[in-house]
Amino acid sequence: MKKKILSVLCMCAMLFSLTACGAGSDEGSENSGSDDEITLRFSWWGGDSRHQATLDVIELYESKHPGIKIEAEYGGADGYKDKRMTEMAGKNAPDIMQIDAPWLYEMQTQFDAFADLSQFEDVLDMSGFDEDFVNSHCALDGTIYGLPTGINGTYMLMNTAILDAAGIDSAQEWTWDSLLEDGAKVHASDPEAYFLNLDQHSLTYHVLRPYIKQLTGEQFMNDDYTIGFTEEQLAEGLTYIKQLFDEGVMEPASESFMYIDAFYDNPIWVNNKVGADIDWTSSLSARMAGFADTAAVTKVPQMENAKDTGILVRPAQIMCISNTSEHQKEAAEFIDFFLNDEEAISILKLERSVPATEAARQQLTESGDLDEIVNSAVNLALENAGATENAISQDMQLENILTDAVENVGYGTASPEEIAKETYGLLEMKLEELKTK
Amino acid sequence: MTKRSKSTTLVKKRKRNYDNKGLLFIAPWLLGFLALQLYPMLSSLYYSFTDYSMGTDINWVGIKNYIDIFTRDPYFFQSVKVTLIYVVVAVPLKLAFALFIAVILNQKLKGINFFRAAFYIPSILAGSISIAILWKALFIKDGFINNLLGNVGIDPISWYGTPGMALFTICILTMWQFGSSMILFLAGLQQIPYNLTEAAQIDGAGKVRIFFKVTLPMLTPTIFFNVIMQTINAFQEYTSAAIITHGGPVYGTYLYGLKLYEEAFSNWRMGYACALSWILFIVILLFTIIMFATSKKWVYYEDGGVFDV
Repeated sequence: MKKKILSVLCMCAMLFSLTACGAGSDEGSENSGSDDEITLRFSWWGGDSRHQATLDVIELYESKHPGIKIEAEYGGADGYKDKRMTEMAGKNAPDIMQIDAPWLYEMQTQFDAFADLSQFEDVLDMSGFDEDFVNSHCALDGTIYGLPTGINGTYMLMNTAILDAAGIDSAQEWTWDSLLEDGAKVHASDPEAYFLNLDQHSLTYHVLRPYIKQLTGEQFMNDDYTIGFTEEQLAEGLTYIKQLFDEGVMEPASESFMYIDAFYDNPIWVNNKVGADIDWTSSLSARMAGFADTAAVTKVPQMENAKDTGILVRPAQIMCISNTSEHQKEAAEFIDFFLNDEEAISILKLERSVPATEAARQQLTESGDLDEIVNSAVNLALENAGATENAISQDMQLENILTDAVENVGYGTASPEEIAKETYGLLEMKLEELKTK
Repeated sequence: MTKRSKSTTLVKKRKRNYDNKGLLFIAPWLLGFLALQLYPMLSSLYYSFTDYSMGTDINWVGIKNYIDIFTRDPYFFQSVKVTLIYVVVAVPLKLAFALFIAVILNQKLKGINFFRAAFYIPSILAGSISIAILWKALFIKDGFINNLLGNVGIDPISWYGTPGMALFTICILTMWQFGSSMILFLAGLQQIPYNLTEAAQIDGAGKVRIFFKVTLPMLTPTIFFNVIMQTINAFQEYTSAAIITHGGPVYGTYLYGLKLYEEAFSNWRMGYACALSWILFIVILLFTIIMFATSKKWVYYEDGGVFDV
């Protein structure tokens, strides 16, 4: 009997060791041993060209500041936020972090993650930045935690070669209706091509949200934790998305939704078989790289009598300093160099959208590096910007519920009305949970 | 009986010595178990009764997490359903395949060791992120598998396009990682005394009959072990669903492990995730107990399988 008990115990032990899923191994970035060399960790996400430009700036900085070593931690956007938040929880976040402006609230309240930048004013020049812009996107309760890398706006990018081939007028004022009507022509004339290519996240963010905001003219979610639209309005937005698939404006969800957070990896995009996408200007130069000669930008489509344009403007990303960093001052010096130094600006160009400082824009205009398309996309967004979003509208958990709804519509699991009903209930439940938190 | 009591008294006399030395020998394991397994386990049990979310204050909430899981969570039952289907499909598939290959590799062929090593290689790579990414690339619309099918005139299959198909594709990935079970089967097969097979042969049994009447019964201890280990692994599967499908389409591959991860590291509901993992633990424990209880009926041990001394 003893042996039996023992064997059961062994079994249990095995169970434990397997159940306790891999305790994440520490990232092997120890502070360098010597006293005179300071190592700063700097993390960002992006595509290859942004990586290269950023690495070049780091190299330049290191050559000018012997004794400071910048350890680059970079990769794609997928999983970036989870990774940083795990590090914040473990108090070993990189000294310098590029984050997305909507994350600031969550990261700061959850982990007290960032240092107040105003304490470094002697080394970090903030005078070039628009105060309102910084205060509304990079600060909480009047404390500035980050500086914008650039101005980001939403726009629609078109490949005119595809549109011309299908006989579509790309210069028109796009409405959601004309997008549906003309968009169908692309797939009709070339079975391999589609007018619009987005994944479930960008479809939710860049079609469903502006569509609903144009209907309501209100904040997406209200500050009192209620929903800013009705169930019927949600159903209307979801019905529109269903039509995009039904009419062949978009590739079927079973293919296009495979490329989560990376619709530009979809073969139809890579092979230039797509007419348009809707995205942020910060990634515009990367998006149009494959068809730069025939690229054109326009505003996010509007509906007739729209109550708000639904067009968003916010920082491309923001640069923050970890609250747990041992070298915050050095980190601030680096950020100053990164955003204000002429040489750095001339290397980074538009890799993080149009720079947020007037001086940098001036410099890039003079050197001819202010790409016309990127600049006009930013200006289009600035001129037509809708209301600035409040914090609760940007909550990721709510966004995920809406993404699920869009996914359900794409796969046709139920009618848009049924999906809207279920989604509305889930949103209410989550809001209630967030409210009591 | 007399013999037995005699030995007990013998043990009793020298009991203290035995215990101390034994403890010393297992001390490394014991320390590791206490610090790295028992402590995290107990603390996760504690956290499962709190609203712990890392960085913020911890408040005791009683069994609220457990109640919420069963009454409010919109995706709990979906993930349970998906996980059960996955376990029921993937584990038998994998074991049958492993046994099949093991039987083939048990033949006396030239260079058999090379083949044994070659078939084991997928398992060395198993469970890694890179394999999941490779799998994704193999099965996408213009991927290798569809090209291969195209050559023999089969239309491209949307491997990840529907919830059922996506789950099946992930099951195939699991099946492909059959190496460790195969090695165990191979070892088990080689343990079977040749005289049994020979005797059956002389009695006129065919190959198939020998396999089902001699080989398989003799192999039951290995099968038992493999079923338990692979089922435990399958219940905890995470990587493939997280990397290849992100749990989609429409939660069709939303395995329990992925749900656990998302609650903990995307939504930062650590207490809730701890409660989820305790439910998983209890399910696995129950399964294991049931397996052990029924094992008497179908597992054959040469020594009679009697554990008692």
